Amino acid sequence: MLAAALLVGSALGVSHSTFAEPAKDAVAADVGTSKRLRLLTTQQYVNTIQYFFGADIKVDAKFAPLTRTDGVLMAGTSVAGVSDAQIETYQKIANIVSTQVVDARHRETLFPCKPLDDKTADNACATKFLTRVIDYLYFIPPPKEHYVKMVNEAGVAAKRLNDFYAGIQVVLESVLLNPDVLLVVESEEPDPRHPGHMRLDSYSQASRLSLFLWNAAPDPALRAVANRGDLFDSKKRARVVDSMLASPRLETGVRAFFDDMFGLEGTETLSKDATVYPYFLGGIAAEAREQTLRTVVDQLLKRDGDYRDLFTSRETFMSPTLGILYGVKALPGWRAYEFPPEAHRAGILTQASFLALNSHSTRSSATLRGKALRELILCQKVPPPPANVDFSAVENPDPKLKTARQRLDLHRQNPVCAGCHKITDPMGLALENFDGAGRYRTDEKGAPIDASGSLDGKAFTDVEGLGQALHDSPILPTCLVRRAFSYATAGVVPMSADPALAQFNKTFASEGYRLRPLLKAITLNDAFSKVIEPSAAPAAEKSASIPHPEKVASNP
Amino acid sequence: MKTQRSVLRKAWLGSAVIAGFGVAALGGASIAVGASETATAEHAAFPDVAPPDRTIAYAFTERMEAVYQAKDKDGKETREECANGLNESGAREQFAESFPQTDGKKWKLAESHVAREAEIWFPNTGPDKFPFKEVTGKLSYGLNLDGKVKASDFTSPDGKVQGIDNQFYRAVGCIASYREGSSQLLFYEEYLEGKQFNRNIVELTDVDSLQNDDDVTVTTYRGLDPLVKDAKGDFAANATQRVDAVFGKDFIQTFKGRIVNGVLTTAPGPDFVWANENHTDASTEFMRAARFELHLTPERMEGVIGGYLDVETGYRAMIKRYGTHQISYGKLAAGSLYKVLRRLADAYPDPVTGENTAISSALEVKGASVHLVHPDKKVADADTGTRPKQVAANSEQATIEKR
Repeated sequence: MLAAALLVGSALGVSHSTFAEPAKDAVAADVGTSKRLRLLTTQQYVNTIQYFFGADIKVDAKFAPLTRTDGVLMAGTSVAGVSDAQIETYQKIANIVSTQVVDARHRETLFPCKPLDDKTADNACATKFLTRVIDYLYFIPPPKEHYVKMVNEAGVAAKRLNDFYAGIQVVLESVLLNPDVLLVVESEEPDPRHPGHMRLDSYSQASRLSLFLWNAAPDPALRAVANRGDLFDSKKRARVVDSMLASPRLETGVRAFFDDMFGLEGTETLSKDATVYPYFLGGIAAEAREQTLRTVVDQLLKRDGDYRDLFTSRETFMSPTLGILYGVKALPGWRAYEFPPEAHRAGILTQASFLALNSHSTRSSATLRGKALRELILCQKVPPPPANVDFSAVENPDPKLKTARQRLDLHRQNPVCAGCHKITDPMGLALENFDGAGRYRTDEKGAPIDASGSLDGKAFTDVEGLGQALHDSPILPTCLVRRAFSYATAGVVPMSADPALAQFNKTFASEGYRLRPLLKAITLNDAFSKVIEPSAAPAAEKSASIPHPEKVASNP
Repeated sequence: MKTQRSVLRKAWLGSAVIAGFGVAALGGASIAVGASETATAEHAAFPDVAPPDRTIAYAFTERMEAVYQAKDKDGKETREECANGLNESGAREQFAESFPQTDGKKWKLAESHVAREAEIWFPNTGPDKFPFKEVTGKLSYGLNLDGKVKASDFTSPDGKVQGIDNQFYRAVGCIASYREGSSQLLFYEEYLEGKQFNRNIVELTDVDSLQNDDDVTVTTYRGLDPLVKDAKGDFAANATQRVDAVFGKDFIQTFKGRIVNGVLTTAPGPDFVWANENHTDASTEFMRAARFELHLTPERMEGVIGGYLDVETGYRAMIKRYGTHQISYGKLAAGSLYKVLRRLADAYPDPVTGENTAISSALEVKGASVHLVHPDKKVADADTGTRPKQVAANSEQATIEKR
């Protein structure tokens, strides 16, 4: 359980030579990010607990939602607050976890020792257990007095409660509530390679690496690496990153990143009108999310494939519930599945997660889909609709207008709306062959659907054409790079990072748009670990702007 | 739960007409099977194209005995079909009458309860000391199985079909258990959905059109997967079912049919074998020379299956599924029902006794389309050992063996 995933990763033997080495001189001296004070996300907390105590420790956690910042939820972890209600949630979870850890079923395996008398305190055994726990859970090792204090408190509680394990439970609960466990407080120190500049300290770098690549706190092996200062040695650091990229835990990290980038957290609250979409079964939104994440992991990690192929590939995974929505055979469990060409399902944009998330509860939305495509996939900013926009053409349409294209054509006659709809609709209308739940259709209210459109000047006639246009768009990979860097550093990408982004883009392209080389390039770059003052790191959002003066309606 | 029952019957079963589908020999009699003359609006709504791979399958989502109940224009029961009223002498009433305790008499268990159970499990065809009320009406759902119009036959409620063979209805139509609102019917859907064994499937192959095709093959199977309900609470179409080709071979039967105006009719075929499981017991039943009349859409199937129910198998399946406790609520007395089923049996005479062993009947069914997954040939061809006796290949022999 406590085995170091680093060692597991190394054993997989991923070839280091295939990865790009860090660009030693590509970074200007002022490249870097601010040091962060970050909240652990729900899944990071769960992963951290379960990686240490075991997957059978139930952590039914649900923290407050984060604010998506410059397109990335993870960036919201460094601007979040902690309310009283959130602290109450933390305490409840800490109690539940600590109770499980010391219960009769788990203590045999989770404790490195047995008390001489389990009816009273045993400082020696408490020290062994609590030292391991604190060493693992605290992002920065506390002073030695803290260990002594915790052991003493466990002793006092054990004597009062006449139970060694009850005493440990009380202290473990307080450990799990400690800000040094729930918050990542990044620290800086002078960077001897660049005199006059600052870098994250060893523990902070380890935390960034682990939260980025594994979506969990550093494991004991990575902490040991940090303890030795190995992360400051470029060769040793590269070996550590290679090991982390080869670890099975990378899948957890990659799932979390793409879940964030594609906005899949929206599936948790997604619902459809059952009378309109009866085939949008209970639980199907979660399965749609899982389908997309499985597709991503398969393409980018298991096949080590080209990121751009995610938008054209017909290969995915299928569950029985999704089979009903897609109208295909689906055996129990998750199975690899390839859509036939006639299904017109190619790429993740044609999966239920994207289609249903970016629709209304009773109808599809070419505008929402086009907007999501622009913002999530291409990192472009679509302005909100003006306050005085008239939505009647789409919300209460003339019944003679049967298709979304017809309704939007009318809506665009309003010049206030027209400009920005030209940005979103040509892409969104290419997805109109899929209804609001994601089921394929050839007509809307009996009228045939025209799924032609264009993306930045490239015309296509159907959704496969849209996928290919995205695949070939030079913006597509650069958006991933940008999102990955923002996610990795948990903040808005500063303009000063442009040279680093350019280097990442170059590496990504030269490595065939494979994910691992990109992740390695980011984590080995000084921009990942250097600290610059906030004044040197303007929080200007650098989403690619769409040169249009008017705002776009997000509702139709 | 079954409030639609009569409405559905009017919509689906009342449209049947004799269209001279085909003729088959059955004990010297010729049989005409009906097909609907007109397409419904629903059928016209979907494109007249072949289903994928020229194949479509449906899992049964509803299955019950077709029982006609006369109603007035307000939908209220008139009970015209039961001129003598409904049966009032069920299991509890018969027990109370047989073993009165009014004079303080104490009955031994063996001479009362055990004796009654023996009457249920070892029934006979002797005279019934209790009155039994059969259907007296002339209207019924079902199919004209023998192509004849006899005095004992029924006419469809809309008057379009003569010669309907459904003596099973005559036997059970005035028993509350089989009528709307009975606890037995209330449980039908629950068991069909909730019990895995009840997964009957019908697959159509060689289908060029769901609206008109003069030659399709119909095969029945048992499926392995649960039924799925959609977000509205209806059974979802497009789910996947795996064929039970290992332990479900007895359910695999093939029929030939054709589709006219969206209605599938099959020629008299082999046994239609169906799984029947309730909260405690699983059983199989079968009707002989079965034929289907099903209205089809790409997502739904609805209609009737007619044939000759094997009395012994059907009776034993019924008493296995329902204890005296359950049937008491519907005024059903098993021993009495056995006598009347045997008396009204109208086909398949026993070669030794000459007594008929099967009774004309009809099942009302509904289904949702499913994607059927057939097993590898190696699995399908595997020898799975002895078949259950009650569903032996030669059902006539099975009937004899049980006596």
